[in-house]
Amino acid sequence: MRECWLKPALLGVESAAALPSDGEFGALLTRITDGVDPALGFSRAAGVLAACSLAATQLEPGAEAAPVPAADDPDALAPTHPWADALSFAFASSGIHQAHDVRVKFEACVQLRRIGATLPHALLPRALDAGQRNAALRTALLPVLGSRGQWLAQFNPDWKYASSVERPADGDASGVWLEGQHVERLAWFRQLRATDATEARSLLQRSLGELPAKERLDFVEALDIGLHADDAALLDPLLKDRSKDVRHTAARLLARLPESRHAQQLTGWIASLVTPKKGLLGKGWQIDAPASADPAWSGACIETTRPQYESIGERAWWLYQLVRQVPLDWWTSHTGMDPKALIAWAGKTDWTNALHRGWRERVGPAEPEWIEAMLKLRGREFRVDSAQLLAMLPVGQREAHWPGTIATLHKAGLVADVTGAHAPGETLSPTYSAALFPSLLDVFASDQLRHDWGLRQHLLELAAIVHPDVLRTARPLVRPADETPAMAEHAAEFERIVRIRAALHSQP
Amino acid sequence: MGIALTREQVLALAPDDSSAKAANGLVSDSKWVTLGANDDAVWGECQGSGSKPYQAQVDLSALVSRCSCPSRKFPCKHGLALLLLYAQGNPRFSDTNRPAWVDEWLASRRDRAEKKEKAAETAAAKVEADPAAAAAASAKRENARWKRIETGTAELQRWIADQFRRGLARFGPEQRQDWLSMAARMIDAQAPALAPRIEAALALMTAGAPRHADVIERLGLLQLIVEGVGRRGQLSPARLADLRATLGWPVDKEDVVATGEAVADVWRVLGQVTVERDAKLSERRVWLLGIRTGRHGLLQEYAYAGRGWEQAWRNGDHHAATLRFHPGSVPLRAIAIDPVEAPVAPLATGALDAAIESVSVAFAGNPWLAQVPLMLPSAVLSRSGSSWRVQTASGTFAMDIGDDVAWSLMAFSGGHPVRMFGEWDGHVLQVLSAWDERGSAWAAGSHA
Repeated sequence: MRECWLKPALLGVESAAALPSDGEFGALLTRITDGVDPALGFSRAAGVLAACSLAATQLEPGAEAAPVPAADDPDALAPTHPWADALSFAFASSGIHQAHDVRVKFEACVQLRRIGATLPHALLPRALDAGQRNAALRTALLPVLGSRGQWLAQFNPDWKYASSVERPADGDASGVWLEGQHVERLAWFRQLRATDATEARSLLQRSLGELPAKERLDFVEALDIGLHADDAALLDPLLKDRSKDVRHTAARLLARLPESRHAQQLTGWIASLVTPKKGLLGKGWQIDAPASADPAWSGACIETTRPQYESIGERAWWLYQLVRQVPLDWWTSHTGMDPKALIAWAGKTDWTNALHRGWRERVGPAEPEWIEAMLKLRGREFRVDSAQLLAMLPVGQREAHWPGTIATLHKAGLVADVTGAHAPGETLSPTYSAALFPSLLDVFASDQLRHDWGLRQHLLELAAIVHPDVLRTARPLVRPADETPAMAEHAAEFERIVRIRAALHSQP
Repeated sequence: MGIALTREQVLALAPDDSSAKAANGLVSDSKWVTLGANDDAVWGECQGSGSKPYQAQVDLSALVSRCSCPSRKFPCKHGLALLLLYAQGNPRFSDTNRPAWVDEWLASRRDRAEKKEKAAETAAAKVEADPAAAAAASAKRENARWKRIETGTAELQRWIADQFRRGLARFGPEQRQDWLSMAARMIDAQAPALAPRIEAALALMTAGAPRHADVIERLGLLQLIVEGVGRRGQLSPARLADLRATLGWPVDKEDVVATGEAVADVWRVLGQVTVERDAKLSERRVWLLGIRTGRHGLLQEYAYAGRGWEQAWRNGDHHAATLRFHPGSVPLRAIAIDPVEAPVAPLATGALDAAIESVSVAFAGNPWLAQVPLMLPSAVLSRSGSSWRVQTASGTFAMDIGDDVAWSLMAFSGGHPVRMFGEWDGHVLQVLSAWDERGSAWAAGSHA
């Protein structure tokens, strides 16, 4: 609209506005505005203008280039596929991001990937939203976004995590390293580390200076893959890194390289504290905490000043920091005791807390014997996070620690352990699931769920982690006649999870 | 089972996303005390929060549902969930004996249809019995109404001039109430359709200076209506019909059925939109395209307080029917007479320039049309900053689209040109459906 219209309308029409007067249009305007109140004349002229502009559709010129269209996506699951409905249900509740919901979505992605398919296009926006809200979902989601999903993600800043760089041909993926998102770079780096550890090390060496602390930490942690004596040269300077987490990770890795200066220092210090003793009952071992701080600790990731929030004493604090670095096999080979005996022995010393806590922090999935020993003791340090300890065990081994019905699990306060021990995508074994599942269905008939909100949540998560084989044995839930709306909603959600999972495990 | 339905088709009936989501939560055997179906209807009793289960039922011939729940959504979540269960082929639908409450409803639907016919006959009979008296009574009513409209629009004319005299730039929060009062005044003046026009202009005013040019045009169109009212005696019958429709003068449905322009064709459902006008009133616009004639038809219906639509129209379905068009210079709004499902025919492609020309011609014929149908044979959705646009070979259309709908269309099209159908109001395009080159269809509102 030209200024001759806008200006009077904005500032106020006091006298006849100077409107176009040429041609047929101008003649018409003159005819309808002549001799009438200026404001009324303007209203009339505006009416003519509006009608004329509607009758001549005007488009803005296409100033911007249209986006480069998405590549073909032949793997996208067809809408007629037997799983299409279940997938649609799995991604339908994008508003709820409870743990069970993430598990169901995660499993849906894993199943899709198993058959080499990617998400149907209609589900992509909701799937990308879900991935944005929950980072744990992303590892499963990214491979099934397909070319359409990756293409779509580039347009929404919230979905940046999923938009990918151009992937060059196999073998030369340096594009990912140069331009990829952190998650992608890390995945690529881990892969490189597994295939060419030396190249990965030197790549990291070159890039360390540019990485922020959080990323530095992730990459240093990845050196765990194929850890080798040669890595010491890279790790040693990191003992003085600005980031405490990086310092700790480097120290833990170095401690596992017996030839490294750091490892030798550590074993020297700890060996001087763990010494043989002769008692009434024969030979044994005794432990003492360091009597004074050693100036050399500052370069070994051991802090001499105890933080105020620490509940243990100063010497115990020093000891604990040593213990959490020393590899666990040092203890078994030095003392000749097995993990169970060591943990029991520690309980009788003056330094139980420092030892138990240090070992708990040191233990990893490669040391199931230690984990089992810790779980058996159920000491303070081990009990509070038994879920994480269990999570380090292979699935079959975990289940030996759990009773087989929901009632007994719940009574023993172990339900959270069971759910907490399974990462998204992991399921209970068929045998354990077969024992547990009928008891889950039975709970709905009781009155237990009326007030136990926590158990309700656990049940939904259990529905998401029981082995898919048992889903077929599901029967309609029997529920109390006087159930509340919340109970009914919960039961429907339970059934929904079971139905979706059963469908996603049916023959594709 | 009488008819086969898919989950997508059922969800397409949902009035909004939240209903579809709520319905998904009820797709559970355990929620339903009873379920049953025969060739005419599906029914079930759903345990709600009350002691008595809600009785939901769907007339399969028209996909119209009814439920004893208090929801004003239509269909409600129970009706949708019932259809979803039915679509899943749930084995519990084995009971084919209709309970009494279903029978009653189906019978009352039949009765209503019959009564309507009878009423039309009676009215016609009355006119026949004493045509002069009937005509005189009707003319008296009309005159009274015109008088009120005339008083109201005269006031509107003064008010519009006042706005221009004062200057739109001086609009402040205190003027808001003044605009709203003017809108309300139009309802009192029996020109109810002018109220939303004033409210729409007010919304643009509050959107700030960049939209002031649009406000000038909108006020200008209102002035044009005022002029029309003053000169109604000189208008052609078609133009008078445009004016009456623009003022919100109710149209006698029987009249349209009896005397409206009749076009027999197979009509394809191109797209639809349901708008909640206020807490109690919903408006549904279903756009049809005549396969043979290429004519567009608009089925525009209103539902009060959750009383549902007469019939469900599914995108892509074809119906053989005679459309009776409301009178006017650009006849679009119509009533479908006895539609019968017909086989699907391919969607014909027109040229882009012809499509753009057709909307210009439509507005040239009647500038008061709220929206006109626009089929773009090849268009690309794109995002620029935080706004969405439709790019074509002839230029770019501004859009009226929510982010959720836009992302869904973006995922569907993948940045490729697709065929798009929507409503063009002269300023922004609201895309209602799209088809890719493989013929897959997308519909706004089916992304729940």
